[in-house]
Amino acid sequence: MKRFRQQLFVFFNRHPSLSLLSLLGPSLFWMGIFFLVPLLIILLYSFLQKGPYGGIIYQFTLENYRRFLDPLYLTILIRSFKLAVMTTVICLVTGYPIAYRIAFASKKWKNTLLVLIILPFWTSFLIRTYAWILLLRDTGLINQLLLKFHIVREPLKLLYTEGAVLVGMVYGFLPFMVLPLYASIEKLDKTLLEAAEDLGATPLWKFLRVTLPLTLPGVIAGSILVFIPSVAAFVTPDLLGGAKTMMMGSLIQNQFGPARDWPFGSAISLVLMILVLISVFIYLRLTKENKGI
Amino acid sequence: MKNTPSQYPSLPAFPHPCVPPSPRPHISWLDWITGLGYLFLYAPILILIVFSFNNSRFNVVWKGFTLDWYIKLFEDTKILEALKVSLIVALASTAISLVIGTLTAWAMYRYSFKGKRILEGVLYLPIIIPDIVMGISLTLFFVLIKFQLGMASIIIAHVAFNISFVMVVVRARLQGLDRTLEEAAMDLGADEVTTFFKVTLPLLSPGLIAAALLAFTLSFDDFVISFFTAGVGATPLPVQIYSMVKLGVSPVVNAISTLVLIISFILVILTEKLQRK
Amino acid sequence: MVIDVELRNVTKRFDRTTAVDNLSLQVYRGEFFSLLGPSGCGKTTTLRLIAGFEIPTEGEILINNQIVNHKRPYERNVNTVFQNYALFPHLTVAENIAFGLERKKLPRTEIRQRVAEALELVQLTGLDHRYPKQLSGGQQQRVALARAIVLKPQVLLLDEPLGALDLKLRKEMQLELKNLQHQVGITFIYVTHDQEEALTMSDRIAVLNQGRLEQLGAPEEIYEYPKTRFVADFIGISNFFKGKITGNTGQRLEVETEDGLIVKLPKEDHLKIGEKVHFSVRPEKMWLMSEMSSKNGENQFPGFIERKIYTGNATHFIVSLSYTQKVTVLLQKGDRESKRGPWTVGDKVWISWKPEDSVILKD
Ligand SMILES: Nc1ncnc2c1ncn2[C@@H]1O[C@H](COP(=O)(O)OP(=O)(O)OP(=O)(O)O)[C@@H](O)[C@H]1O
Ligand SMILES: [Mg+2]
Repeated sequence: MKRFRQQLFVFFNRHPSLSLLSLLGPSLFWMGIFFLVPLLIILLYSFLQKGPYGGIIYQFTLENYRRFLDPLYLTILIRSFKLAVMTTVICLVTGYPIAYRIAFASKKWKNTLLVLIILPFWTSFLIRTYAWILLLRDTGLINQLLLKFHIVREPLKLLYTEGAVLVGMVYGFLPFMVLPLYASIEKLDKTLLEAAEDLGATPLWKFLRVTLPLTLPGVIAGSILVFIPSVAAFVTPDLLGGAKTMMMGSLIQNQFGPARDWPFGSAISLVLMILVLISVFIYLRLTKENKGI
Repeated sequence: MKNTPSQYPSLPAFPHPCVPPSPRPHISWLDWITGLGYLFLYAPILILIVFSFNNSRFNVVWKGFTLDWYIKLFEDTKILEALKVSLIVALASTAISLVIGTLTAWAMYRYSFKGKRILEGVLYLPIIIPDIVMGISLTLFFVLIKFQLGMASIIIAHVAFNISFVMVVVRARLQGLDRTLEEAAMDLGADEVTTFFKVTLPLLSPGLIAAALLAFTLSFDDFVISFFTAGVGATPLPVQIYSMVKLGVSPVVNAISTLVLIISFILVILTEKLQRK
Repeated sequence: MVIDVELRNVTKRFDRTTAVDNLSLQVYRGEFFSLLGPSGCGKTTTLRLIAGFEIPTEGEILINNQIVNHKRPYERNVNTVFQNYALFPHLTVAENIAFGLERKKLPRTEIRQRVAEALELVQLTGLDHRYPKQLSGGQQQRVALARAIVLKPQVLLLDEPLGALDLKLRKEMQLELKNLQHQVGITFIYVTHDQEEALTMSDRIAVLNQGRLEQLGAPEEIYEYPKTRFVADFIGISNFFKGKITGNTGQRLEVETEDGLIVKLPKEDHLKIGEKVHFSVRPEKMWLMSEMSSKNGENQFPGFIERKIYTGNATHFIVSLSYTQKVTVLLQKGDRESKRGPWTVGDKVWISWKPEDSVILKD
């Protein structure tokens, strides 16, 4: 048996292309059939017409894309974009000081702080979002406290608002901002900061002229890592938002659920995907350029 | 003993100008923001956990400690069934994606071939593209080929995204692997098989375990893709929790959520421990 | 003499680069054989070809007079000490050393005994249970050595084994390695880019340049009679001259250099009048004098001291003989300088050397 296995190894060693094929075969198969083909189906469907009772009629049309210009859907598109940008900016502004603090923490603390940032990534996003319902609803903790200290007379409407969606997304994606920021601040040569001080830079000047430019790759990486899941968010607006705060994710789900309009749903999915791929592309271009400095 | 130190002029008592004054611990605005940031990240989770022990149906204010909700939980056959589905899906998709992802990582590490860059891009796609798009497209695919939605379809979908994550983790480990170690083993008389089992695999194993834990967690926690690819009769836990949440807040949801969080925490700590090794 | 390893017209090409180019050499049993050359000249590749990690593009590799081109590394009775040591991080020192013995399926007790012996040989007794990470660079080096030697290979291949050590430790280990080789009597093929190391340790040296063999010989031979400009330049310091043969007076060749100096060289039969030649003279073979002297041989030329470099036990003088020809002259402490020294920059001096100290170089 062992002899056989060894011969197998030697055989593969002599025929690298065969061994390459047997190594890559399974993933080519799986990714091809269960990932690429479905994406192609979406592409195809997005140019077809919807049947009277759902389903598909095999007839070419551009109608599904034209519908984006319909004010109803355009608002949703713009809202998704707006909320995603706001989430990114808030995450950046709050995440930077946090990342900075971790990068300059003592060794003992640094690890703990980092693990605490990573931990949420490992826990169910659904559950963490659900936790905010406990805080935000009319009888939730925040309203309880506000009432108790007589800050308000009656409970504020916090849940099912755009604000709630924003808070939920910042909460969910903040770690995606902090980690790459931390990585680039950590790499920053600390003597450069001392040199800047030595040359008379005030703290603000030092930050603007030295720290920020040098950690720009982290800023870009973090921003894109937050922007992508934000613009495609489905769980957060679904649980914390209301009918008035529909975003693209929920719109897609709607088409495959109650609306039964698969072609339109496919078109939205495709647009969303292209939006995401463009941001990734920009990210790759920007980080490549930055490496040259 | 003539040269006692006292014969030398003593140094001035004030500190040398180059030495900065010893840092006194003070809390800066950075500390405040960081503290608030962590509070923001953990307060909701903590409150969720606390409420799962709250002796009140409406869990509005603290009414005392109880384990009732956990007892209710274990009497709820739907939840238990969903937990079973989730565990089976997570285990199966982890096993399959671990094998496929590792083979792929190995190929990408060892060989250079035409179209490698393109394949690399495709392999990263499932990590990048929105999960809702992935879920929708797979569902359409299953419907089109008339594949019955159920446990199998969820497993297939989870493998499709887990392959990428496994590949990334294992490949990172492989990249750190010193090729000369394998050469050294062969130099010392180990054939290919022995080298693989005695050197490569032990060195790779922390990466494999980390990849498996990651795949398991991602599968176990996944909601969006499961939501679309699940059919009647096979409801994974997150989907079950979602439908309960949609019906309204209930202490049982808090309890099951707490359990899921704790399982995740244990997995992270395990992974951390293994990475340290 | 028994030949352990032989390379016959071996060429190794990677995609674009030719790492080893038509290399032929023989390594004798029990000798300390060095491969010397600048970075990228193909030393490591040559070693990897012998070890079996690479297959030659052309030519043959023989171990024990058998062609081993396609033998796997574990089928060859040679072992390697890797440049970065390649110690298994997941195994202890003892387990690392036992690795090869276990593959040979030796009985437990024998393995344990031989590991202990090997540890003693490299003076690491007591560190059996440490992991490589817990050792200093020098100690790791010894473990790598022990791990290879314990297998009693026919040939031990060492790839710059001392490269990562600091100078002092390096000097110590050079001595130790040499002693060790005497003790175990294994053939060593030793790769280094440090000429001094090669000269002090080797029985024979092969000087490589861009994958080709420049010269093969004993250290004295290589130093005293470099065959090519590359060797003369790479090993020690040399003064180079270029010229045309103008005369052949029985015992001597007469050469007129590009600067018009008439230099006498030892006779070489195959060189004809009118041919171009390159030759070199070692700085320590040159004399420095204040005046021309009748007893100081045939080659005497005036010049100016341009720089004087003091290096402790010796002094280098850079003397310009013409606008373009500068030479370095080396005076050891207590050498001839005392005759009328010390010279300083700007002084007019005469330099001279014996015709036989000129070495004619192949181009
Ligand atoms: N696997 C490889 N693929 C392509 N080129 C290679 C490979 N290995 C070596 N080379 C090339 O072959 C040439 C010789 O390399 P080699 O490692 O033998 O040099 P070396 O003499 O050991 O140098 P150094 O002193 O720096 O270790 C170099 O130009 C190198 O770039
Ligand atoms: Mg080398």
